Amino acid sequence: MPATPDDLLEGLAAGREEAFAALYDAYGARLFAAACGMLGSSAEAEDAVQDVFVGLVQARARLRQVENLKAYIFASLRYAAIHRMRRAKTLQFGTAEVAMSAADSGPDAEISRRLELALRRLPREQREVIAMHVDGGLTFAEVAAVLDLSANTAASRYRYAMEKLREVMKESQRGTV
Amino acid sequence: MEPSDLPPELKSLEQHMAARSRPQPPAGLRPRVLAAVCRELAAQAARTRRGRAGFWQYVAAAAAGILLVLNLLMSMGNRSDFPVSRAANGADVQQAAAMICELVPFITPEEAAREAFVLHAGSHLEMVPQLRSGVTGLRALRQIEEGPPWVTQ
Repeated sequence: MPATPDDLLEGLAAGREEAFAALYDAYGARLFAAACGMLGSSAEAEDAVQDVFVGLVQARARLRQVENLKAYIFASLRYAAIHRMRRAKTLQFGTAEVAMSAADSGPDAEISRRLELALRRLPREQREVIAMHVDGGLTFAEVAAVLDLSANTAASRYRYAMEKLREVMKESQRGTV
Repeated sequence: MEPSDLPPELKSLEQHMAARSRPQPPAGLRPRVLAAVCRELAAQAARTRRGRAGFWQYVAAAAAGILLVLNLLMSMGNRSDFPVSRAANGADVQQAAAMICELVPFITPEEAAREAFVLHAGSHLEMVPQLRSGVTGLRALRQIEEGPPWVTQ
């Protein structure tokens, strides 16, 4: 496994398979979680993660100029997700699938299910900032780098997204009562 | 995840979001992604090889074309002693060439033969009136039909 991020970048740029394996081991799970948050479908999320890695191979000649690899691969994931959403011509596909999988296990299954359903009702921009920060584990500075915003704007967008999420949760609670 | 400046009720929602059960990547995703990476790397290598081969094929074809043109140009430039057919190289032409060689000692036999051939060709020319268009041409024709002017006058 490459010792430093620079070694990892060098390995990716050189097209070494073990570097891609190390990158998957480091970020695969978080990429998948963030893709599920953005797309709402585990099948589409799998395809989006694969798109990110194939895209890295195709763009490997430019990888040596990348300063923040984490932000770069999450930006790639965002573009892959947007591309898949456009192809599906809907932002709401796969809602039931993720919601049901979330409801399968855990003591807070009902809250998890309602959170997933509420997330699906947010606009794409708000959903992706939550997916990157909460599911992908990116800092606001990293989210800002991915979205080409300032860190303050990324944090504000996140706060608005959480407020909207709370409103949607309240609405759904009123609807069920 | 870094702390965000959220009010307490949103903080609680954020904690629920972070603690919620999320789908894990299936075990088959890693080998699938790495297989796709290998395929793309192999395709890239093949494209690079094809690109190099295409370049050398182009260079070889261009070199062959240049050699062919050079070859043609050189053969055309060197071929100045065109063979004379037997009909045009009769006894009278050879005789004339021999006479030219006698008269001009420094001329080569090939050049003498060419000069003799040209003389021979010129000796078979027939006198033909030069026809001009319009009234002048008609007058010239009439003169030929009527004979030289000193005959009619």
